[in-house]
Amino acid sequence: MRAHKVNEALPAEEVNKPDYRLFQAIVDNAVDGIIGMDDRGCVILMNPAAERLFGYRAEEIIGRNITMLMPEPYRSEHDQYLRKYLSTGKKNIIGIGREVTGLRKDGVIFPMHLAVAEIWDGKRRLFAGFMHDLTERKRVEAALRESEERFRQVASMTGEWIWEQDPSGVYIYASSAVKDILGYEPEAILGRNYQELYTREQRESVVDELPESPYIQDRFFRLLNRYRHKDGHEVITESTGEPIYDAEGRLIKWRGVDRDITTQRHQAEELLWMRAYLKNIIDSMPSILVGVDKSGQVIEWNLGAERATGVPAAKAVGREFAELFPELESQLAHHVQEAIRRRAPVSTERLATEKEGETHYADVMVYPLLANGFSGAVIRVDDITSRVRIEQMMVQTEKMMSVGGLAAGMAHEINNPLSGVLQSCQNIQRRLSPDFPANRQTAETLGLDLDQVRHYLESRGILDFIEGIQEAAIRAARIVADMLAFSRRSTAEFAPHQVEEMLEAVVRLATSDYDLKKKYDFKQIEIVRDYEPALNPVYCDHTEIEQVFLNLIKNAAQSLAEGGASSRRITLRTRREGNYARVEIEDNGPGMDEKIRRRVFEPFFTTKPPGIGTGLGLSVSYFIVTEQHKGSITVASAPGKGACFVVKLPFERSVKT
Amino acid sequence: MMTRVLVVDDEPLIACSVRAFLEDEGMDVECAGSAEEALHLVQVGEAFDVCIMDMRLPGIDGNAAIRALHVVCPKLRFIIQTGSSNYSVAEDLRAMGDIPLFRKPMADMTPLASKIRRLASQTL
Repeated sequence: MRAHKVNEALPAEEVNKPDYRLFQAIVDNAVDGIIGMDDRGCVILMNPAAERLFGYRAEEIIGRNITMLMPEPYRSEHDQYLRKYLSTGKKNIIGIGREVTGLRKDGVIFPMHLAVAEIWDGKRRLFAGFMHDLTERKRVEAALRESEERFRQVASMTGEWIWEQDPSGVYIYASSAVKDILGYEPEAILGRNYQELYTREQRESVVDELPESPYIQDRFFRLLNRYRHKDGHEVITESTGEPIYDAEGRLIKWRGVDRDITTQRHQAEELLWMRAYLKNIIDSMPSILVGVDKSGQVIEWNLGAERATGVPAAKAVGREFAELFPELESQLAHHVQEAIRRRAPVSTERLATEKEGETHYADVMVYPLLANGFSGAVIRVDDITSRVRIEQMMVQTEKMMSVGGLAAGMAHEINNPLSGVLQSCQNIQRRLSPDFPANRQTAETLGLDLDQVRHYLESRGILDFIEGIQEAAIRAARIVADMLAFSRRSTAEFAPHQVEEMLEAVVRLATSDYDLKKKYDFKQIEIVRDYEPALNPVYCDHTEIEQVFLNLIKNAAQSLAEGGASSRRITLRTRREGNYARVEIEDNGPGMDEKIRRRVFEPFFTTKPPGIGTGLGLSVSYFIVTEQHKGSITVASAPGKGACFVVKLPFERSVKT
Repeated sequence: MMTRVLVVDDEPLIACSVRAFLEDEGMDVECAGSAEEALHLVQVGEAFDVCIMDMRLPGIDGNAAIRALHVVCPKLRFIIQTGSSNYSVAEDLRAMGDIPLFRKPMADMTPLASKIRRLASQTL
């Protein structure tokens, strides 16, 4: 006999009835626990499911009060509850069922659903409780709640807008973050297609690029989206989404996340802009600016550096500074380390470098860069060649002006004695001439043979001496006259003149003038003309400029006479160069070395043998061009390469002076 | 009648050589070492056709001398000979007619002689 039989007291014939056996089988095999009790709360039946539920065997419970299976507060309330029902008939659980907790034998309280039925067996009132264990369901529910809570919290903490769209791109869910990101309540976007929220530009670009986009079924990752915020401004997000399929592989919906990156994006744009702006500043500087690290490797390379070296930044970065500026490196070897060590700029002024046979000057500053744990330097190179040249020319001009001032003061004092010498020479020559009637008369009176006298003078070379005195005095007079040119300041004679015409006048003079023809064999020299067509006239004193051109052509002829190419050639070239006419007078003679080239415009500097030049021709020319005409004159030459004098004359009257 | 020339120059060698050259050209030449001396000569009755005047002179200078001589002797013609580089004939002197300017040093006096003849012929 099983201990949990409904009633021990039932007569055997009752128990052995088929109906009773069926009843017994149902109770024994029920999934839910069934416990029967009398109207005093005493347990009279407990089925196997109830045994499993409470951990008691039926015989431990039968005959005992049901409250031992109840935790507080049910336990204390139970008797009162039962009494109250029996006296008032007020039901709380009977026939209704509710969630309560049970107390297991091992002390564990567990949730269960309890429904109680009231039974009348003809003699007394009995109760049957049906108990369904809710432990698993409660656990699942709690886990679900926990999961939902976690999801909600994470979603709100990240501030990301989590959404779901149907396969056509219509929102079916949106997390509350959409309010912060786009300004819309989640409900306001449900039912709308995501493209409606785009900015117009984005919408159009999507249509252009992805006409099939609603049908694309691949997951996407960090796609850039531009939405229009409710208040109109643009919001940039990074969107990641995944398609959700049903068991048959049909697309049910999309689920994804949009992260607001507007600020980062703007910051990045601002950073890019700032970088471009700084680059622009660095590139706008005429200086060469090169950033190097401690080892001298190039990190930054501006446009100035690009221009100076012909190496583009892309090719310079990462290379050694020494390799890119070999001419500077020998002189700057330790400056970078020095600047970093001293934490102070190291500067070198007027660094002279040789480039294509010409001397260039540069000011070089090395600034240490010590910020943010990076140590390196910025090397700034300023080409000051033209400034140095101007300074040198100013020194030259100063020299000439002082020569001019001196000449003006002493011209009178020198010209008077020279005049006495020259006039006396002329008288001596005439009075020694046998042809002059007055001479014959005097000779006759003295009984002198004038022809004999003449013969004597010739044979003793006396006439040559007189001629020598004359030439020497003429040369001295010419030096004084040249020196006086430095003090002439009048611009009264200035007018527009064609450069070409002045050059041609000088060529005519040079090839026809007897003295010049005698000294320089112009017949042997080919004159090449390379004139710019329709060159504007220059504003000048044409006699002075012609003097300059004559000096230069004479010089060229002189140097051609000294050797050089077998076919002697002087090239006359004119070009327009901004506001200046550029005139080149070039010869293919022997040229000159740098030492001579530097000094050619200096007063009294000459390479010609004594008596040939005054040493003032080029300095006079220099003075006329630079001081009087506000132009410039330079020379390019190298041994064996001929010489090219370049005169630049302004087209317009200078505002200076 | 011979052309009469007065050479005023404080440099004796110049005065002397100009005189010699012009005498060889057949002129009658008198020299004065200063403006004062030249004025004295004119005042005592010497008559000249052309006066070659140096500008920088001790005492009265060339310009003043020309003005003074012109007052005494209005027909006298002048030639200026100077060693100064920046001299140009004064404005008021130009009213006296052509005053040729010769710069020192003068290596050839032939043009001087021909200029004197031209001026002398204009006075007649």
